[in-house]
Amino acid sequence: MKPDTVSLTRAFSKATSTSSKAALSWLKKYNFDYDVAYTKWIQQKSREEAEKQLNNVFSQFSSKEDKDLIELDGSVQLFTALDISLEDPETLLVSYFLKSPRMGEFHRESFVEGALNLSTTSLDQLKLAIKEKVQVWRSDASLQKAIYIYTYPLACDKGKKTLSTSIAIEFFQILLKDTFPLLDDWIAFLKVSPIIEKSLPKDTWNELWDFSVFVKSDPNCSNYDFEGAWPTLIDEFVSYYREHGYKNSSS
Amino acid sequence: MPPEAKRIVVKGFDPRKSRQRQETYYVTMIDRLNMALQVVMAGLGLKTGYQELYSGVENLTRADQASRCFNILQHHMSSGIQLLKDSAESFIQLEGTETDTNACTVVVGCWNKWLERVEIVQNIFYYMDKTFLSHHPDYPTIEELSLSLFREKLMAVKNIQIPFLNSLLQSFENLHSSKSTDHAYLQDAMLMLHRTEMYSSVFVPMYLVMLSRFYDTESSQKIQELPLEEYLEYAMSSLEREDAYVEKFDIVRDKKSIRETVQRCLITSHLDTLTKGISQFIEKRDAHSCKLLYALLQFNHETEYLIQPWSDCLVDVGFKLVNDESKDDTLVQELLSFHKFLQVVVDESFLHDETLSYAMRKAFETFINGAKGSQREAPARLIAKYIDYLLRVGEQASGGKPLKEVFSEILDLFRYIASKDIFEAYYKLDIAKRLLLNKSASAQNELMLLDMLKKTCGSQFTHSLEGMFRDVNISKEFTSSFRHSKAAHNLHRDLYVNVLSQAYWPSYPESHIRLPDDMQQDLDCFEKFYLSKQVGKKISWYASLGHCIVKARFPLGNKELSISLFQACVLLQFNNCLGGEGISYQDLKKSTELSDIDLTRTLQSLSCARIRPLVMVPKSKKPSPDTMFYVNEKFTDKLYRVKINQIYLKEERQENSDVQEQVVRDRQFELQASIVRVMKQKEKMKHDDLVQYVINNVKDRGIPLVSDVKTAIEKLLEKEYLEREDNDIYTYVT
Repeated sequence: MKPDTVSLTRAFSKATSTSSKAALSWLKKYNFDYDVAYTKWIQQKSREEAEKQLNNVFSQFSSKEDKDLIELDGSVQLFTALDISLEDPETLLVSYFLKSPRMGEFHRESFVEGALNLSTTSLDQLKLAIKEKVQVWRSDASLQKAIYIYTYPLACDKGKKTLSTSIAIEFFQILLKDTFPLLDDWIAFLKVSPIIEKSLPKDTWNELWDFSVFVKSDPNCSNYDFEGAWPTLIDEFVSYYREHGYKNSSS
Repeated sequence: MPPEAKRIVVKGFDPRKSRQRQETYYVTMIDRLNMALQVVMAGLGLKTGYQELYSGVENLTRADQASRCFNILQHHMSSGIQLLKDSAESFIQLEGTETDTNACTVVVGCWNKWLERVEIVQNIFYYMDKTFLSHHPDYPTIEELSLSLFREKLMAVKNIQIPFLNSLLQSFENLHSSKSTDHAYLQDAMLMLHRTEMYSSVFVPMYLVMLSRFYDTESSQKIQELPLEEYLEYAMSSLEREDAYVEKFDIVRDKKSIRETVQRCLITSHLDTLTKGISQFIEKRDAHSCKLLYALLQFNHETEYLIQPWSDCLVDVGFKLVNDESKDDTLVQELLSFHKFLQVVVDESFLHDETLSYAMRKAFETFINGAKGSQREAPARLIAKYIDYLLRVGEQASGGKPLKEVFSEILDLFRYIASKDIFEAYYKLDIAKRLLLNKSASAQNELMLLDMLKKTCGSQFTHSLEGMFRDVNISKEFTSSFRHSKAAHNLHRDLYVNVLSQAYWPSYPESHIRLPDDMQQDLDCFEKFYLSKQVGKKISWYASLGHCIVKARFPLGNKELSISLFQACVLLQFNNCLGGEGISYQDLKKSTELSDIDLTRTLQSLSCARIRPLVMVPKSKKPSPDTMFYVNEKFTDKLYRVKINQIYLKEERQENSDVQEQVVRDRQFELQASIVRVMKQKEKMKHDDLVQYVINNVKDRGIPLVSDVKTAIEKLLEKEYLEREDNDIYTYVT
């Protein structure tokens, strides 16, 4: 061991009040660059601290049977604590950022990670951060799309990978009301299509977002390419729309 | 003159006097010539003195006096032409403009007179013409002089030229509109124009204008008045007439521009009407008019304008055929005769024109595969059905025509069909029926067609069909070896078994029946024998496919009934009915264990059809559980062996939609398999490329719709074999 590494280890151990062995391995990790190693160590410490606090926040709402899980009741409390009404679409945004795998359910690990990503350590900070994101959501198309895409698996019933069309319609009404000009026609179409009895494929759900963007530049769908990569259900919708839809929009 | 060397003196010769005498001779001679020319040019004709004049000219020429001679010649010819001009002019003026026709006669008259007069002059001045004028570039020959004089002094005069040309063209127009015209003077006039070199520069342009005006008017009128096929005849004969005139009036040099002008009027200006007319000819099956039309268009290399109307009308006629559901029964025959006719048109009327032949094939592909809705697969289905009919009935069905020819015509149609899988599905069902029920007219025909199909579609296509034939042949051998074996000694009756490999044959519904004990024993006996020979195989019996011959003793006579196994089992139940007892539906169901559908259908076939060995009480269409059945005591028939058909109520329709569904399912699997194969290999593909690739990959069996391919892609996305990477890029999920 070279003398300077010895002194560095000693200094590091003192500054961080760790054992010299731990100090040595930490320094080794950063190639004996003292400043970098120290900064990283501080970050690590504060992260551990934050995780601890967030775990406490999580535990306030977690289920009695399973400490690592927030169930429906806990979710209701969580939303209330965040000042969000259960009927609001903002619940979807919270689910997205706190990585809820299913409606009304949060897992400890992903919850903490999500909250950390929002740079928060307490319930109050979380509340502020969510308020901020809600503002961003109103105008940021990429966030809108991300939440839209996230909603499909979120909305699926436990153990299922697909979403029934009738439930999907309710989410369309929440998520697309400001972004998809043909939403009413689309829903009217779904209600008369045989798909209403079945589940709506995930791919169709995802592609609908791009279709809603496409429609803004071509409201009559006159340049729509039936042989393109659009899902067949959207093909069928465009045929339906060309036949029935113009009437709705003109009257 | 040679240089003077030595002077020779002739006595009594006075050169001065001699020169004087000579001069006197010249003067006299020239006077005479003057006189003679005056007479000739006045058209009075010379009676005598040719010889003297001729030698005079010769002498003068020899004495270097040719230029003097020429001067008087020129002078007199000029005044001679002046004379003719004056008379022509006055004639024409006298006649006035109304009788323009005569201006031509007048000028031709002048021309002939002029030729006569010049000829005399040429005779007299022959020596000078040949020895002096032809060799001096400064002087014209007499012929040249005469022609240029005629051209410049007579024809150049407006008062003559214009009425002449008008009248000439009028005569030609009369000729064209078949009014009587003296051809002789037209020929003279043409000769004059040729010789005076006015033909190309003056006449032809005007003639072309006249022709185009004439044919424009006439053709516009004819195309409205005449049926199109007659118009074609008219156009053709007009062109031929024009060719004849070209020969007759020696205008061959301008034949090309004349032809072009006439063709433009007759054909090019009516191109649209003419090419669209092809649809009438096709509808009337008029190959002759097609030929005329093509020949006319060929003159100007305009046959390409025929392509669009030709293919439009074929597609049109074709769609009318395939979209009409009521025509299903005759569709194939109609398509065959349509195709045959078009083949004749292409080969004979269009002289094997390749682009038109190609357009025809494309048109067939378009309508045969593009029928609307439920008719979409009709051609494939009906072709299979028609082949089945031919194979069942044999050559009588084709009116004695060799089946080989009929088959090859059908295969011509079949080649256009994209959904070969639909055809195969139906064909397979039919083949199965023919083979199992022995309905085929001839095994030879079957194999012939199979061979032709193999050549058309490849051995993959016929693989399972061949397997079916093989099964039947092997069964024949096997049954015969079974009959000769020890095992067969205990059989209660003759038994014939077809052993079918499941993979080759269509799937049949398994229907249960309880066979009479002795029959069941026979089957068990066969099964035991078969399994002892064929290790590792499994046998299951398809009762619905069996058929039997049973002997029946009716009060009115003994009969042999050729019936299905179901029918036989039901009838055998009545063996126990002594003295006219009946059996109820319920009891029959119990003893045969047939399903309601099968039993009802079997009983209907035995008691409701034309031939009724059983009587149903009470009579109804559908028996109820309590309905009673009795043996028909009055049963009789002309024939000894009576065949009773099973009832195929609405089965056909059911069968159609079953087959269709099966094919659609198979196609979806095939598409998905094809997508997975290519994606596995390429890992990432754009939507359009993938769709294109897959269509190419499966098109030999049937061209799928893009939406079918998209559905297959979606299925795979759902099953997570594929993932959508970007809007139109898919990746393979391993």
